[in-house]
Amino acid sequence: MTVRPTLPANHVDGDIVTATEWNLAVVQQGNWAQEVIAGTNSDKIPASGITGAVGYYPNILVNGGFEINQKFGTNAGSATSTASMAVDRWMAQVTGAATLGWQTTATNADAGSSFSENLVYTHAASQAGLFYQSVENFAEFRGKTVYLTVRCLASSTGMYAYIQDSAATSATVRSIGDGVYHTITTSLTVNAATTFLYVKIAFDATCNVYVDNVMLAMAPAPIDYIQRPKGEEALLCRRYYQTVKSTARWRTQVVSETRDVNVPYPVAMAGTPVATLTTTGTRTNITSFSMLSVATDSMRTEYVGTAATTDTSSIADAISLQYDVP
Amino acid sequence: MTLSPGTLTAVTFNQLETASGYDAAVLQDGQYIQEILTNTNNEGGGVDPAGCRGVPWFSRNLLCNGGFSISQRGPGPWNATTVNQCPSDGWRVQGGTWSRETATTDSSVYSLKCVQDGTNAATLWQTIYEIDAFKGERVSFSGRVFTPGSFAGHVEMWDTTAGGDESNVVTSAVVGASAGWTTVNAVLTVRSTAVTISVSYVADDSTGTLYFDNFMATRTDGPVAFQPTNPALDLLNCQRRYFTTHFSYNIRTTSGGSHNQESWEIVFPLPMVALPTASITASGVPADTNNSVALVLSSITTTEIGQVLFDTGGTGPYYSLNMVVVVDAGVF
Repeated sequence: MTVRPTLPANHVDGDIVTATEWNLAVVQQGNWAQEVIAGTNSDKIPASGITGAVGYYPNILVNGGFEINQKFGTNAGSATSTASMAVDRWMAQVTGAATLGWQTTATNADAGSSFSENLVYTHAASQAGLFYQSVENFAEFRGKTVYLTVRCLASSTGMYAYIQDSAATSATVRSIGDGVYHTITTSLTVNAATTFLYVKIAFDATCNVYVDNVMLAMAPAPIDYIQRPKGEEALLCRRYYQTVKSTARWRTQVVSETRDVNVPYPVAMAGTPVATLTTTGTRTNITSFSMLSVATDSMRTEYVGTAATTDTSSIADAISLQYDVP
Repeated sequence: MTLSPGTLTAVTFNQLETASGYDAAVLQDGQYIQEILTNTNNEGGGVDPAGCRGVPWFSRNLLCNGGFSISQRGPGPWNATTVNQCPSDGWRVQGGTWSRETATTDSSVYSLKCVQDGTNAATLWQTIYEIDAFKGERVSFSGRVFTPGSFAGHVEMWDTTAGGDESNVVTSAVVGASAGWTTVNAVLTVRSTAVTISVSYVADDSTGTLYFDNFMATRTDGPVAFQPTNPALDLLNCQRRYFTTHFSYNIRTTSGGSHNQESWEIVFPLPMVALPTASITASGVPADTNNSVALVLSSITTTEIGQVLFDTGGTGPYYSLNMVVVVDAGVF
């Protein structure tokens, strides 16, 4: 491999070029350039040096920019000792008497971002808080090196981030605590037999941090966050959480007549979801309601109506579907 | 076009450089690099992506289910004595017995396994549709193959014109028997008249076991390594060709006539690649009862939506809970 030479100063008319200079400025420079172009030199051409080309590294994480929050919108929530869903794809958990509040907010969003996640951790002795995402297709990255980039604006040094697999963790430096955004990074070569892959925002001292633009990529180096089109990001989120509606209206002819409504999902879920009736529709002559045959692609709602001369109806029942990746 | 000059040895002290050396080392080298950087030299296809920082690939995988991770039809094994569907969505096979593999993979969850029966050499292929953006461009293939037996195979890439011309074919180097996973590459320059691109692995012998994993086709000048696709996008891409959905109904007719009709729609997750057909592969529980006329899946006339029509007779109620409907575009 040829080392890129430092070029000598320009000559003026009448100068004689020495062999040393010739070797450095011509031969070594030429050899170096050829090696770089051929990919046989460890020096690389920056993406910015290629017109029209931008590196495409899909974010392994979903909703790393916290732009989608189907379940809570901009409402605040708090973690408990049992891991629970916060903003789309992210889980929160806290131990002991420590507290961890979260809220998706436009306040202090990073440059080029609409929302950040405001995390407020209050420490208790020997306790900790976590805000994390589990990569569903972790096995696809076995043996691969992944790089994590996190943008954070923190009030103290109480926060850091890490990548975790079955065999190891790899942590970033701690938050700076100066009230402005910084980039913290780390990398991990994923264990060849790992049974999980996490990205975790961790706290072990009281800290208020705005986190944004979290990127995990199978790239050759830490890279800046690459935003997906919002529609695509929303679609990916719906694999893990989405809401559907069930509406029925019919005229009963006998006592306790049953009517089933087929409820397909816009996006197939990653696993069999937990279905929850979140908003009850306008009901008339409905005596029973059930959510049945809940599958990854659809479910059915079953209504039982009374015999009546008027229509039996339940209009616009809203159902949430949630699957948390372990 | 300037050819890449050979590199020179160092000049010794007081040595006079010749004009030919000057031309080769300075003029030609400089011109060559300028042409590469301005994309006016096609000697080596431009800058190797491996030499670029931050740009190992410029586009997503054009192949559907390149990681062989989606198997909506089931894991097999299926014998493919004729052209048949494959346990891995998006792929078509001929010859051998095919199954989804979990034990022997290229650091992934699933691979595709083929056991050849000694009669027909195995072929695995996929056609890429909607290629307008790739006309006149290079499409590069990279795949991982494991051939523990004593036979060989190779990759072919070609495009097809509207008139059915498939003469533009490139063939990879032969992949021989190996002790582990081997990378196989090919690069096709797509004709401006092409309407589809196909990628195929062809076994050169008819006995043995083959494993396939991590196939990647990109609009790049050279092959790039496989990048796992987000599972939701991977599945949606496959569902443009084939998907299943559960479907339920429960109705009561108002008379005993033979034309109590009700219908519901099956909305496809995404527009299908081609006009699909639909069928019921698993009856509901309980299945249709008191139903003198069977459930009818109406002919699908668009790539975006289908309709289930119930044409019932007799008295109700009629119900079929959680049956499985298959929508298949018939392309692989």
